Amino acid sequence: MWLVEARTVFGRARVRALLAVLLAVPVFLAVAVYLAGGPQAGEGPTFLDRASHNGVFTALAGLVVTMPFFIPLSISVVAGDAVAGEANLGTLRYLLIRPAGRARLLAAKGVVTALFCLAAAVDVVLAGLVAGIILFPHGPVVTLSGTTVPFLDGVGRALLASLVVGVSMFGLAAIGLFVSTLTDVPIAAMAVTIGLVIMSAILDGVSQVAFLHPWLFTNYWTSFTDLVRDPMSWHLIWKDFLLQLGYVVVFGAGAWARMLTRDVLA
Amino acid sequence: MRYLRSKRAPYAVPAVAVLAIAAGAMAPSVTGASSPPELPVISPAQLLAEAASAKAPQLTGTLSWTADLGLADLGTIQSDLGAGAGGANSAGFNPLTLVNGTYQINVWLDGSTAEHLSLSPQPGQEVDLVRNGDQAWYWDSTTMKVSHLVGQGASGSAPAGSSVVGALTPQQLADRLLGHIGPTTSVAVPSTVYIGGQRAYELLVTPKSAGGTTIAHIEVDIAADAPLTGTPLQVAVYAAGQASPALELGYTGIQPGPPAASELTFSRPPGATEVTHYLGGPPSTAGGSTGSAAGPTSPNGSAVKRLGSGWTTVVSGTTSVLSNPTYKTELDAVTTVVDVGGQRGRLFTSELVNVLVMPDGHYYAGFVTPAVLEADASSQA
Repeated sequence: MWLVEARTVFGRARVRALLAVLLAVPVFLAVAVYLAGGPQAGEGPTFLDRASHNGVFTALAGLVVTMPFFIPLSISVVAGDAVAGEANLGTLRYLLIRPAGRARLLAAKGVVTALFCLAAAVDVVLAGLVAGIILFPHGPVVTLSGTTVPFLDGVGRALLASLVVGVSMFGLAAIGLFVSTLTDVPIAAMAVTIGLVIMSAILDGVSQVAFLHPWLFTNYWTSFTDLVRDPMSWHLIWKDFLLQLGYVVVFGAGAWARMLTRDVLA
Repeated sequence: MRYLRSKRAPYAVPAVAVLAIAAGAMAPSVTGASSPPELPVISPAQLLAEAASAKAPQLTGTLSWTADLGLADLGTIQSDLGAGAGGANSAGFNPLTLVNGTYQINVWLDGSTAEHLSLSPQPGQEVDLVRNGDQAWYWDSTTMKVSHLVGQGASGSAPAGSSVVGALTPQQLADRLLGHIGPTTSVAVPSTVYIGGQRAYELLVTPKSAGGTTIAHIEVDIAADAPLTGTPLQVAVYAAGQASPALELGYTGIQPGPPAASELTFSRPPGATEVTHYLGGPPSTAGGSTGSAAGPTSPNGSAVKRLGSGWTTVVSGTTSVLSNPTYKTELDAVTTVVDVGGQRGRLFTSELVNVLVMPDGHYYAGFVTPAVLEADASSQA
């Protein structure tokens, strides 16, 4: 059932288009930096000033640029569509006729959405690495701590960063899935989900509600940059994972409760 | 009704999950995490003597720095003042960002010979301060710049100019505070506590007279067990009327023992620029010396003067930034105007620190009430 679901989701033209757009961002970024030169040290988005020094930073700059909006947008589309899309097309009924049950259907949807989160982030980093290695030098990598690590170590850190970013999106995926169970209109579920991302990001920037910040699912999204320190600092990443787990439990349970009790009319 | 109830029942699961998470978040403050350690009774004088004779520790650890001063957003004043103090360009680390929020600092301390502090002030940025003997390095990942300071064989104290980050261990902070203990102060050892997994005595330092100062009390937690015996592990400053500390610096994790040697030196990474400063005269008196070994100076201004004594000490000086008309709008937004001997002074207040700026650029600052600042200002005028 999970395999079928995964094949359906990743086979959709819109999902492939989303992944293609995510793929294109770091490539465009790399080409732009190659042609026009990168920003001065300390200017522009994090890591972009280093993108031309090393291919690893091209990938990381891609992650920094896509993380606030592109990746969450694609996840909102996939998660918001998960249940509401089936309901809208009238296929939810038929899925539920199978003896698998509503909870298992939801679990399959959840697992595939989580897979998409990881795929989206890995997609960006792989594209960034390939573009960066072609266009820029690939020698030892200078960490944020001012030490130097071998190139392959740097590549490993970039891939690890993509997995960390993927997991940081699990909370958002759970929210999207929950919203998706509330409605039969997938576009509404997508809009609400991406709206929550924007709201969370805005609240994160308002110092008057600082007490809320540790509870916002966007708060630790940038913690993956700690992987480029030496030694790697995991303290904020663990905080992020714990927070995401909280969101997955609460909104996962909410989606389950809604799934069990909703009237499936279409 | 039965139908309705059964339709709502599953929603109990997410509701319980929310409650469980809320309870989990509250738990450490309610139960106190763990009961305080049992330690033999010690007098404040004995504890102070232990702290005074404690050697600089050898350890690898993490520090947590929290500043909660109830500050308004200072905007461009903060960034410009900080840029002046740090001497860096605007893209680099601004030490004044540390007046708000919680930061984790990784530390590697090797007695009095070497130390390394590493701080990530914002995601994707790291500043490092490494000192080894009479050499020190200051690294800012944003600007990719290394400042290399070479002293004159004066091991034991960090070269001046690195003091911004270099004062950031609880021991250095506590030494400064405890050095001022005098007749105006009462000390007590009311309880024990675990700091970073270590058993510690809590030394409570309170001003005898509450008048004039904004500080309610200071807690210094001092390690009870070897090899760290007598080392201050946490310092917390409480402002009058506040339940949580306005400033807190303490270990969240400690591994006693000599740190890895690789953490105690620094070499310029490829692509970075390095500037070497020689302190205290030769070998290069021509242009190399920054003269920063002289006493502390105000940002963009004159030398700092101390007024008063004890808990009501006020520092005073002048700064061009604060009298610069460019900042008038911002200053208006964060300060109130007070009348000081016929002059319009601007008063900036927070829970702990108060600052009075006179029209001529003179400022008066301290952990004191505005009345003390105004009295000092009118006596100086």
